[in-house]
Amino acid sequence: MNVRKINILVHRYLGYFFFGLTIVYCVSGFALNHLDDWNPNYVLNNKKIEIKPIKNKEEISELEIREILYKFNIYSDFKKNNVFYPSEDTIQIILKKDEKVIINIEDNTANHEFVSRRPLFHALNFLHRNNIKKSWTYYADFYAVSLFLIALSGMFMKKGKEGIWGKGGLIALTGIIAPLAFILLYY
Amino acid sequence: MKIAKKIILSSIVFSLLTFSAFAKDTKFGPDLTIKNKTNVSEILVKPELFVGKNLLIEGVALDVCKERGCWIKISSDKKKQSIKLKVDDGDMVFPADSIGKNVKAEGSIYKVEISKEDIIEMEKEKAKNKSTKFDPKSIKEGKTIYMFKPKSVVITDK
Repeated sequence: MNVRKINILVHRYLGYFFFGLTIVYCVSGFALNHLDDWNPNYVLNNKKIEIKPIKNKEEISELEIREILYKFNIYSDFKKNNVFYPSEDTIQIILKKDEKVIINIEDNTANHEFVSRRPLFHALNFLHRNNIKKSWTYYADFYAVSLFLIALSGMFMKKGKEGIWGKGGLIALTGIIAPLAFILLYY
Repeated sequence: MKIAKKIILSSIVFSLLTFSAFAKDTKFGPDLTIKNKTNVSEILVKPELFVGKNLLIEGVALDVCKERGCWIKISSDKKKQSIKLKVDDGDMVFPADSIGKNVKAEGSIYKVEISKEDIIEMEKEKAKNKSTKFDPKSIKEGKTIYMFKPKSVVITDK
């Protein structure tokens, strides 16, 4: 097998194999690029209501908690050890890992916060940001090396005027101008 | 065809090996090195005494930065207290659904001076997120706060 054939095989099979992961990084990259405009990971839900003043601000009673939860139409049970007093004016009841009620004892309001993972995007960003660590790091490294090989082998797919020493090389150089300009201007 | 089969088989084996190493705990940074923890309440009495010292603290996650996962607030061992663990954007990304989980963190206390203008901006953002009203005139001056900069964090189910 000659070098040219190996080059084509590397480009073709790595391209096939990493098609899915490339889509993951594309979609997630686009989502994470606009962090200032939206939250790509979570959908935040809030509902605020007025409540009766808490009688004993040092220790909220179980009955008072239940009354507040009912107002939010929450009928699930809560654990006493999930009631916290994080500051002078707030009491926090943790219902689930993504759901809590914050009581403001100063202005007598309660806020029900519910955070849900944004479908699809949360999972894709989870991979992109390498939140997993562990062996995903190696897999992502393997992808990075493969991406380099796909790019490099792509440069040698065509011979002659269309190839790296002709039109192909010129287009590749043009593509470098923008990132280089941004580094020179803003770095 | 033989090459294609070999590639597909190797890919499956490699992918399975990757899946096998997933852990339940969420860890950030190197392993914890300190065994004895310092109570959050002890730190909050005179935080300036703990600035720069390497400490291990523990608490329950009460709030997390939903936008960038760049901070997590944990409970104190005493009522009416909590402490914020803050990292530079991207250093660690704390999951927003960590609320109620147990957090162990090794790191140090640092001092932050916040200007009046910055407080107004932060409160505006907070009010926007919670769909509440905020009057900038209610902020009269800047303030000094103390936060915890972790280098290792372990988040586990309670």
